[in-house]
Amino acid sequence: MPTKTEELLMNMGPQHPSTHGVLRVVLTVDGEWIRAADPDLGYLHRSFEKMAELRTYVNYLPLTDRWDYLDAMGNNLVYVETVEKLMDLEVPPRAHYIRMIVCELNRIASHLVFIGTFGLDVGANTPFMYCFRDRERILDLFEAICGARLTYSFMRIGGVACDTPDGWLEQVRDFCDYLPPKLKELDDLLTDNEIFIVRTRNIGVITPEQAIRWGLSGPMLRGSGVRWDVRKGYPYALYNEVDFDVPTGTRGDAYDRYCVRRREIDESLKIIRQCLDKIPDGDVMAKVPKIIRPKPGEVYHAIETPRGELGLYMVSDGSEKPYRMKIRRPSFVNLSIFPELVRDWKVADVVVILGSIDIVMGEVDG
Amino acid sequence: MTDLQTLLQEKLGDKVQEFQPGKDMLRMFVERDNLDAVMQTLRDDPDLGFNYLTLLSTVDYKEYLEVVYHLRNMVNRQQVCVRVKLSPDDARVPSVTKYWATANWHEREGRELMGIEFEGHPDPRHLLLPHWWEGYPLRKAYGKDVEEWGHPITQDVILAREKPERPERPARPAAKPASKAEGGGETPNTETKTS
Repeated sequence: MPTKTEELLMNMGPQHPSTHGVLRVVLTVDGEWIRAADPDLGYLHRSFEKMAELRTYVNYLPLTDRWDYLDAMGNNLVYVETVEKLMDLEVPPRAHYIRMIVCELNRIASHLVFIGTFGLDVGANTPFMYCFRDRERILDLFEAICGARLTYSFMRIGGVACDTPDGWLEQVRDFCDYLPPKLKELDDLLTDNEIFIVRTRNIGVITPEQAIRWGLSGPMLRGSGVRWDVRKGYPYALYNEVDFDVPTGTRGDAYDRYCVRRREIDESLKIIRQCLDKIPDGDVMAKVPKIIRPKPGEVYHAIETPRGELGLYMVSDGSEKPYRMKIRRPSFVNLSIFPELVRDWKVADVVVILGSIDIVMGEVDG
Repeated sequence: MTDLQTLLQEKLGDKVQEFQPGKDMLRMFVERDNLDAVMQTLRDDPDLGFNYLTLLSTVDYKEYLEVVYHLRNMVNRQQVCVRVKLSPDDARVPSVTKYWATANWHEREGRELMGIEFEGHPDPRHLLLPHWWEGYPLRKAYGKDVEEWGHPITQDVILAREKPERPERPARPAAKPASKAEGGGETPNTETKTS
């Protein structure tokens, strides 16, 4: 009987344990080898940009939590900082330090989710539980300061919603002492695990030129060796007053991207400790008018989130609602390189490469 | 006049309509016909070297549409913003995917949400919206013109019409046969076996 081989169109998602949300990828496979991958987005498109035109600047803030729901503090921050830039508003230093502390705590929480789910993608089930146990400590801290575990709406245009409760800063310091031994546990379980290294080394390699051409940012860019971090490039809040390194990889493969994120947790702990030492007393909110009406103009402002550069291009026409707000979503841009990366690798590597991009579908679809 | 502005004026001359200093970066207004040459110079000229396209956005200013490009030089951290004005009846602009590969998805999103045609785009299918979606949601007039798009057209509305006019799903671009074998480790397989 004659046998033949033909290419098969295989559908992955939108419900799939490894697509990190509602992502559908149509794979053209030849046996186990991928010939083409075509992502089909839009399952979580919630028209955030259109809604911005219909709500006042103050009203829109809770919606920013829902962009990248694993880094809601970062979303809040980029939004309020953009409006503050449009209005030329000065924020008191205590508010800046509180913002930095919560943003770095959120970065640690987001990277813990990444480590846990990336391990899960590769088949390691235990680190997932450990990461989420440690992340619970951070969520408890957030619940103490603003009442919510995931969608905080903690920032305000001009500062933060409220000052830290009594003893909160000491609890953050205790957390900074609690975490390093747990990270050592994680390293023994996953980072130095031979099986994990074999699964992720030299998979999904991105050259530095490719990374810049495709507009990548965050650990995707730093994993390839490009030392670029918005906190160092265009410092915002008071990041120019704290001392931290920018970890980079050498080979640009999935393992390097994982290591960059793992080392970023250490750097975040460093930043938090410095902020705890430097935080002054004072107001947490500037004097803002009752109705926020920035002068007509436009501005682009970006921050460094755990996924990369989250930017906001905001156009104001002088009214109390934004005229146009375009969100530069890091997961969206980082995912665009995915079809290039998976070509000519195996089906098992698709999951590893997709996991190493660390996307949040809420941000990809916007 | 900043140094960047003098440099740009030297390199681009009269291709730039107008310069405008901004809160965050210099803004340039360019006509659509000069856009291709301007973008090529901005990326390839060694003194300018804007090798990173941060964001490509589209704005609806009612009388005209605008495409806004935020460019960055990763080496000296310079940023510049290029703006192109388009009339709503003739909303087409050359694609810059050949200069910055990241523009691919930004332009697909801009096309389906704002209705601007990016000429020369390698893959102009819908990205976020379903392929049968009618109308351009991010335009200011969307939803206000009751005759045309009084409400977002959903699939059951289309099917309920007398003659369901669902557009044919555009074909996906063919899988490229060439492979890239970057990095060691497991060698990717590129042979297709035929019997």
